[in-house]
Amino acid sequence: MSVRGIAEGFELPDPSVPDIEGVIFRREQGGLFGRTRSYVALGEFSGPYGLLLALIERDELDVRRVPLAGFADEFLRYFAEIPDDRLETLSSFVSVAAQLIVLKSRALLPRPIAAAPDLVNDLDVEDEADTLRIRLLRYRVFRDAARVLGDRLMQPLWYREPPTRQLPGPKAVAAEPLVPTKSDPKRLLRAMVRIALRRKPLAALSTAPVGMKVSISDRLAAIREAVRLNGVVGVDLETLLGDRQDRSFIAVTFLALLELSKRREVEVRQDALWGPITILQGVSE
Amino acid sequence: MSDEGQSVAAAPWVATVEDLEALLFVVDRPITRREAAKLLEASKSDVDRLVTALTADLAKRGITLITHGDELQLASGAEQARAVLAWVGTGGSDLTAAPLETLAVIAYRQPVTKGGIEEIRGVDADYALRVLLERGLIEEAGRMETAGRPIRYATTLEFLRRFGLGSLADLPALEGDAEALRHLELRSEAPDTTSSHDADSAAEPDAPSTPAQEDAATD
Repeated sequence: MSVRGIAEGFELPDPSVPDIEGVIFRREQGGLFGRTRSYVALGEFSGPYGLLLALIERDELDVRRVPLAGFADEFLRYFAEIPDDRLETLSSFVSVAAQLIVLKSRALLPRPIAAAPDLVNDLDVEDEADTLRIRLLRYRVFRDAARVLGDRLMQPLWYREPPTRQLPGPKAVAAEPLVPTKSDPKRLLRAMVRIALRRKPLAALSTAPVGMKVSISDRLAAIREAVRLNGVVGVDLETLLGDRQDRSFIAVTFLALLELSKRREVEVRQDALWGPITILQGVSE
Repeated sequence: MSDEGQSVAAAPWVATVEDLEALLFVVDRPITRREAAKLLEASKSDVDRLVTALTADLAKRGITLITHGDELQLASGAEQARAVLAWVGTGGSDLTAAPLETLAVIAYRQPVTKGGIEEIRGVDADYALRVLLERGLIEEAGRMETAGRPIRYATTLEFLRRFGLGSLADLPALEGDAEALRHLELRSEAPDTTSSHDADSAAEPDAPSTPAQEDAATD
C-alpha cells in the first residue's frame, strides 16, 4: 500500500501497521508513561468514509453501535490537513463533516422521546446517523474486498504473448574511409563554389504576428470527432494533419493522439515501418 | 481391416476436450468462443461444454483456463506465479489504495457507473478510473439509459490475469455485516431499466456475495 502523500508531522516509524484506504495509520511507543499513541494521517486521494472508519477502528469500536457524533471534532481536525488544491476531494469531506456536525448538534440538544437510543441498532434508513452508518458499513465491504484482491496481485496468471514486431536494424555504413583519396586544392575550391551557389540567401525573419495558437483540447476534440465519423475504417494521421506544416500544430496533434491512445479511446496502427499511421476507434468503445 | 480404416477417416471429426486444450495452447492470444467453434468445426454450445470440461480438468494442474465472457485463454496457474517468475522476468505490479478500492467496486458491482462507484467510496473517482483504464484493468461496457447516459465500467481479461482469477466466478465472496450486504444496491444505478437484473440480485439476501454474471462484462 502507498505511504505517499502522508501529511507532514505524522510519519512515524512503524511500517508494519497496514494503511487504510489512503489513510495512514501509525502507532508510536513512548509519550507519557510509555503509552502507545495512535495517529491517523491522510494519504493521497483518501475518502471521507475511509477516514471516519479509520478513526472508529483505531479506537477498536463497533461501527454499528458507536455514536458517530463523537468523531466530529477529530474528523474536522484531519479535514483541515487536506491540501486545499484538491477541490473534488475536499467537497466529499465537507459533506461527511456536515453530517457529523448535524449529528453532534442534535446530541447536544434535548432529545424527543421517539429517538430513543435503542433504535440506533435498527438500521432504519430514515435516520441520518443510520444512513451514514450503512454507508460506512457498505464502504467497508469493498475496502476489505480490495485488500483481499490486493493480496492476489502477487499471483498473476501468465500467458504466451505474441512476439513483438522486429524492426529492421540501422543500415550498414560504408566501410570505406570518408577521406578523399586524391587531395587536390582545386577540387576543394570547386566544391566550395558549388556550395556557395547552392546556398540561398537568408530569408528575412517574419515580423508578422504569430498565428492562431493550437491547444491540446482543440486537437483532442478534432481527433475524437474524426474517429467518431470514420472510426471503423480508421483515419490517417496525414488526414488529421491536413496541409498544416507548422511544427507546433503537428506536435500538439501528436500529443493529443498519445493521450487518447493512453486512455484507450483510440487505437493507433502502423502496419509497416514508415507506413501510414491509422487511428481507429478504441477497443473499449 | 482396410474398410474400418476408411470409415474412420471419413467419419466427421468431433472435437474433444484435448483438442480444445491443444488449440488454446498453441494460440498466443485470447480467442473468442465463436473463433474456437469455427476452428474446431464445432457448434458454440459444444465449445461451451468443452470449456466447462477443460476448466474442471485443469483444476489440479499448473494451468488455468481464463474465461472472460466470450474470451478464452490458457495461462499459468495463480499458485505457479513464482515458478514462472524468473522466465517472465517481472512480478506483479502494485496498485495504490484508491484505484484498488475502485477496482473492487467495479469487479463486484459491474457494470457500474462512475456515480455508483462514488456512492460507495464517497469520493471523486476520476483519478482512480483513469489509472485503471490506462492499465487495461477495466473497460467501458456500454452506457446507462438515464440522463447524461453515463458510461458503465466492467473488468477486463487483463484484470482476471493480474489478479490470478480464472473467471469472475473465482472472485472471493464479499464479506461484511449482513446489514451492509443487504444495502449494496446503489441509488445512482436504480432507475435504469437495463440494470433490473442487478437490482433483482442485490435484493436477494445472499446475492451480493456472488459476482455479477460473466456475460454482463461483454454485453
